[in-house]
Amino acid sequence: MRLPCNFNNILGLWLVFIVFMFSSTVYAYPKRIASINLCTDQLLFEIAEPNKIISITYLSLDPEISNHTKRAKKYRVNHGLAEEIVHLNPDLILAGKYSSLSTTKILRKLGFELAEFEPAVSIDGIYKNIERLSNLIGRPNIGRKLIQKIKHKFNPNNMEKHAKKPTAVIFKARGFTLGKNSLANEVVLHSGLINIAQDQIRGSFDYMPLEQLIALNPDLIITDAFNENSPSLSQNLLKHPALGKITQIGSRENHPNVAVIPARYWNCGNSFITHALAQLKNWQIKVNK
Amino acid sequence: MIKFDRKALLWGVLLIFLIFFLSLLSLSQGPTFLPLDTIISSLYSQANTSTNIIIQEIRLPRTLLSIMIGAALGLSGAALQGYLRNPLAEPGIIGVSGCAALGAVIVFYSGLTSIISIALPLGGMAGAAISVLLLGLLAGYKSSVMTIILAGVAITSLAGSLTSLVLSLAPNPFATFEIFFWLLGSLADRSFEHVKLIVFPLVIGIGLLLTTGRALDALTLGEDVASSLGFNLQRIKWTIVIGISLAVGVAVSVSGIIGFVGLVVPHLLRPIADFRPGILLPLSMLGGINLTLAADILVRVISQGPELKLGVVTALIGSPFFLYLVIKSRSKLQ
Repeated sequence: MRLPCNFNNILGLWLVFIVFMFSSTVYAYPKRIASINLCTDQLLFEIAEPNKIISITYLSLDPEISNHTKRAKKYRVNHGLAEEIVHLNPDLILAGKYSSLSTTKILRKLGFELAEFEPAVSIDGIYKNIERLSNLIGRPNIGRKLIQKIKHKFNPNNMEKHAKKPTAVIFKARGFTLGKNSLANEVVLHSGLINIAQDQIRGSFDYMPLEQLIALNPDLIITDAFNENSPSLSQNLLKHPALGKITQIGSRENHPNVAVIPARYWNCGNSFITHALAQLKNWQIKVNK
Repeated sequence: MIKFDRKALLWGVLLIFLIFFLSLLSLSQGPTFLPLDTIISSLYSQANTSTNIIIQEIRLPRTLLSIMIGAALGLSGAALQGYLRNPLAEPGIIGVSGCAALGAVIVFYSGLTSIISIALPLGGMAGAAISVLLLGLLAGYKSSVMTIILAGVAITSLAGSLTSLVLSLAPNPFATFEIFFWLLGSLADRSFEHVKLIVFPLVIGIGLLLTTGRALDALTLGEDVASSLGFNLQRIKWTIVIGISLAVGVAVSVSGIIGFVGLVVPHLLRPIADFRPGILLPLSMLGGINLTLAADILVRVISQGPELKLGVVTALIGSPFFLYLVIKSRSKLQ
């Protein structure tokens, strides 16, 4: 019997060792990831390996705000409560920057690895979040591809440039509207529209009285779709007869002036933002024809 | 026929003039400034301009709803105080408004209103009717001032917590925000659809309550005297119950709970009516309209951005008044 002392065998052992080291560093990446925020849920679905996710929020089951309802059904859902997370024993917890402070505090105290994500208020913010999460869970390539995909659509050269920029106002349930330093505002601008609400409101978002919207008389009202089965007064505002009449002012009969963009495309920052952009661009091109 | 003395008649005319004045003021209040002549011409204009839409579709229904709901609340307060011979009776305090809101909330968030819109006022009416009957069961209409108020407090808090429960369980994510609307009331961004929805039951309810004037006059002399004068006590009772359920029920179903209007107005006007319920009823209706219009104007004047709820203003006016009444009647009760 020969001893394994020749060069080939030593090389072989080294290779085994290196492969072992390499695999052990791979295994250092989290294998049990839990998310307690809708937006980190959505990013996880886009970046993480499905079998590494152990829990997502119940909000991901709602088709109005989640792009991955089918996949979400396979996972255990949480309601952002520490107790639900602790017994799952995750090795990484994803939370929003503005998730319940008491929850994140407890989870940290119990020694869990917690990553808080800033809500994206710009396209750059989306890139940052994707990059950070993909590095954190060891899938930088997937993240890079995703960023490329968004960058392609949001390329300044692809920006609609027309002499005449139609005006728009985002008007959601309760009159919720968005202005400067918001993700939606950037998408609206990129599609070649002007968001005239940005000069009317103080912060990046506000509630606009219906009357103010009518007085502004924008070319386009951008709103949400909503579910008839579970009514609310907030959403009934969008059915106010005054809104029906504003669509008939002047020579507007030629084109629809309400664009319904599903909330799930742009309430969180992820690759579905390109869908919102595409819809607005289509409308803008139709009008400028 | 009720004989109006000159003082009451004069005040009645004055209150009607004030309604016209406040209505114009109400039409001119809003986030966008519009001059008065534009507003008046907008009321008749057929053109489809944004100014016309603002006046005709937003401010006009709001003003009309203030008038309708104010009339219902003021009159109901006077009728309840007269019938129960209780100075603290008011739809908001004895639980009628709370139960009407609960009824409306149940039919609205269950999705019934999306199928048939008339379900909303019907829900409010049913809630109001149940509360009046419940009050009779719990306290009896002849019981003391305090027993009725205590029963009312119990019904109000039960209705309030059930309303919060229904809203928390509603599948719509916005429902929980809307607790404020139902418990504090608002007329912001209502439309002509709401006016159409409640106008008939509201007018019938007001009509029924106004017919009880003479009977309430007689009741001030006691039930025995009233029945010996030929008034059918059962009939008075049911007229009041149905009238209140119709008027307050449908009002609350579109505006939420606007408290204290029915408490403050009859008390302020009682000296003018020479303490006769029959005269106090129409006067309180006019007074209720004025107070609601004024409060709804105030709401728009003081809040920049998201509007203050109407019930906040009426409560700020009403609750010190309520305290004053409690202190005043304390000596009598002991």
